[in-house]
Amino acid sequence: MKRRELIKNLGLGVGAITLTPAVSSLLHSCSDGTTWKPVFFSNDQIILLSNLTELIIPSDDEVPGAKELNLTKFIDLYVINMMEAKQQNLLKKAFDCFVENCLSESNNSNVNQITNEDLESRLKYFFKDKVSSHKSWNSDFYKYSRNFESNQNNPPVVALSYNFLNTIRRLTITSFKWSETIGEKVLAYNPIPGRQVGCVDLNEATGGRAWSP
Amino acid sequence: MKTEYDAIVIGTGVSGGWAAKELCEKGLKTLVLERGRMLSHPQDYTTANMDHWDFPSGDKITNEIKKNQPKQSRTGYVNTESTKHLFVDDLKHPYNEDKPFNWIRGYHVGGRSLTWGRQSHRLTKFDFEGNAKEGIAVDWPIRYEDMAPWYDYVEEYIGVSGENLGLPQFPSGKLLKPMELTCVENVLKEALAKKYDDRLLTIGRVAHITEGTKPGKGRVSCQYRNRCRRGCPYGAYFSSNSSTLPAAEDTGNMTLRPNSLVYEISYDEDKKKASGVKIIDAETMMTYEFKAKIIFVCASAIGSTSILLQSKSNRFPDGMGNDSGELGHNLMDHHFQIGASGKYDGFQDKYYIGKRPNGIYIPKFRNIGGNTNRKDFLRGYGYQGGGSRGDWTKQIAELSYGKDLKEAILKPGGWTMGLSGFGEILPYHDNRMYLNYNKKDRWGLPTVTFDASLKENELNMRKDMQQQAIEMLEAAGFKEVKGTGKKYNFGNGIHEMGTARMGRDPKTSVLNKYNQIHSVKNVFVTDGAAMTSGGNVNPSLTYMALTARAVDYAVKELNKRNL
Repeated sequence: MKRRELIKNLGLGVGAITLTPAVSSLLHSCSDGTTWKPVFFSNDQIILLSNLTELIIPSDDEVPGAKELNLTKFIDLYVINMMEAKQQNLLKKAFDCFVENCLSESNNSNVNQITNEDLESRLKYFFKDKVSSHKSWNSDFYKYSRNFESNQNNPPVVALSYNFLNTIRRLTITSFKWSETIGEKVLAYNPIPGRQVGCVDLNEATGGRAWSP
Repeated sequence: MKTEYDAIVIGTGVSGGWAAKELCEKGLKTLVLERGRMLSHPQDYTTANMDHWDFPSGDKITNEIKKNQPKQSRTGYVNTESTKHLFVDDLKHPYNEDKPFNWIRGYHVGGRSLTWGRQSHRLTKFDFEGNAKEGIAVDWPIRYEDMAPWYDYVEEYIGVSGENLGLPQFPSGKLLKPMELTCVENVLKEALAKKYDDRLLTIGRVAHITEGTKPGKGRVSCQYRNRCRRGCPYGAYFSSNSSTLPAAEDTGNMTLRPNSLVYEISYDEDKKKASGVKIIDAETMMTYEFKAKIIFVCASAIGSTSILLQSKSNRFPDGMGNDSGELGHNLMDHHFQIGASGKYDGFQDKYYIGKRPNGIYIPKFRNIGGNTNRKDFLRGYGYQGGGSRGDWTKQIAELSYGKDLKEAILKPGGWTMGLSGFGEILPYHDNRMYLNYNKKDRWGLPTVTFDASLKENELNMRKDMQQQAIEMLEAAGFKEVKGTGKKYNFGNGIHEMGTARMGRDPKTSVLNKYNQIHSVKNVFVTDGAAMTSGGNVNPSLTYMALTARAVDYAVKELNKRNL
């Protein structure tokens, strides 16, 4: 029974205690400082990206969101460390297309004018309103990416915008799950389980949470 | 420096570790040579306790890793941030490919015994009899009965967990208690039991301690962390570093010499025996010669064969023991990366505890007699796989962003079950490796070239591997069942075998029934090179059993002054 209690605490209790806003902002400033400089993205892009990732995974009373966890730092490094040159260039292009799409839909002229409302309306449009277009956007993207090295003209702006949001969403989810705070304090973290049970009640195993990766 | 020993062992992986232990325990002063660096249990498992967040981009294969390990990186599953130091630098250790071949290696004390898959299955009577019955290649010079006591001996020593079912195609062993199946794995198990009388599902047999302890350097039960391939601080799975090398060390008879690259086995033309080995110190580039009465070549199939091919003399102009011309030929691996996956509705209130370092196993059910015999291919395959809970974020489009997405990430997702077949590749003479003397490595040694591919038998088998996986998952009520399959590259199984095969006839094989070179009686080869056929199961357990058996014979012969 003791062990079960411990696992429950690891899954839920500790997370709830630790992650008051004051404590989590403390974590943020300790681990990241203020001097972090992006390697792949520009400073302007990081500001937009940071707002976008916060809309994808927002903060709440119990669990910090993308901004508090500074997920853009991980995303920036991930692009540099993991993506091949072609993927990186496609991402750059897709980012530009997304900004272009945002500006034209919001009647703004400058990237700094893009508001959270503008970003959220894009997320809604691409992920919720236009689910039926996903297939054709994907196919437009693959057509363009196949010949990307020889011809970068006339990008399909909408398809690339959708691809950009998909990539950022995927990286936001990965970086969230792989962040120390979420991995150790929020998800069910037990680095030394010491036993194996194949089929067990979810509540007994983790109190309802997923195991930490 | 002492230069004369009773025995020399080349290599410290599963086979070399076993040779070292057995020789030393039988009282022979033994020099154990390893081409790579020293790696000690457990202090050199530098990443054993690290999490994703301890690496800048998670525990993945980064662009930086790909620079020095372009070929090791090809599989996509071996050399991540936490394990990259246990795989070779491809720039430092180049090889050539007439046809694509992924040669995945670890040059350090313990070799691939640190990073192996740990699945430990016995070959069966079907495997030892197949070549003779079907007229394929040459007959194995041994049968299952010759190996059974040695499988017992090895399993008992290393600790293998699993389930005994008493089937000829899945022989029982000396097993520790099995790990548990997950909820959906049980569903598939029950469905197979109902629908089929030729096949069944069981838990994988893995070289993990699941109860009690085993000899070695503090070997205790599995902690279910599933971080095995970084080296296990608990010694819970078998590795040379935690088990056999400490046992050899404890006898006081072992001299372990890392950074010792063997480039030749010396042949004494008068005595018609090997006199010792020549090495290059990999760090100082100095060369040395060591003498011994018997030599165990356990440098992995390709490594051992390369050494024999380089060991030229008047008697053996084409490489030591190569009267048959078979040295380097009959290269095998296991083909896999094909099967099916499906989703399972239900068990939303169920989960599991512990990260099980193991999967399910469906033993071979083709070509084991009667109705199971096939016209479209010889031999067969087994399935490995597993059922677990994934991630909602990929499964439900509505959870695309915001609060709902965040909640979904924190909960376990739906159940999925995957099956991947592991099939036999027949021993074809023209599947081979050979040495390229025009392209030398930094030690001035010839590099290895691979020239091997799958043929019709394997390609037909692959169709069945996918079809049956789909059929079984559908029969068990899994939804959205899809055939899965990637292009298999030769070598991906990391089970190189057959390049110095055992056989009855010196004219068609390199080794006899005791892994002894037919024509050089004091040299034994007991790694994957010895395999006359590959079977369809993970082969390391067989190498260990062959090694222990060969040492037993060698030492008896030595004592009778026959060597």
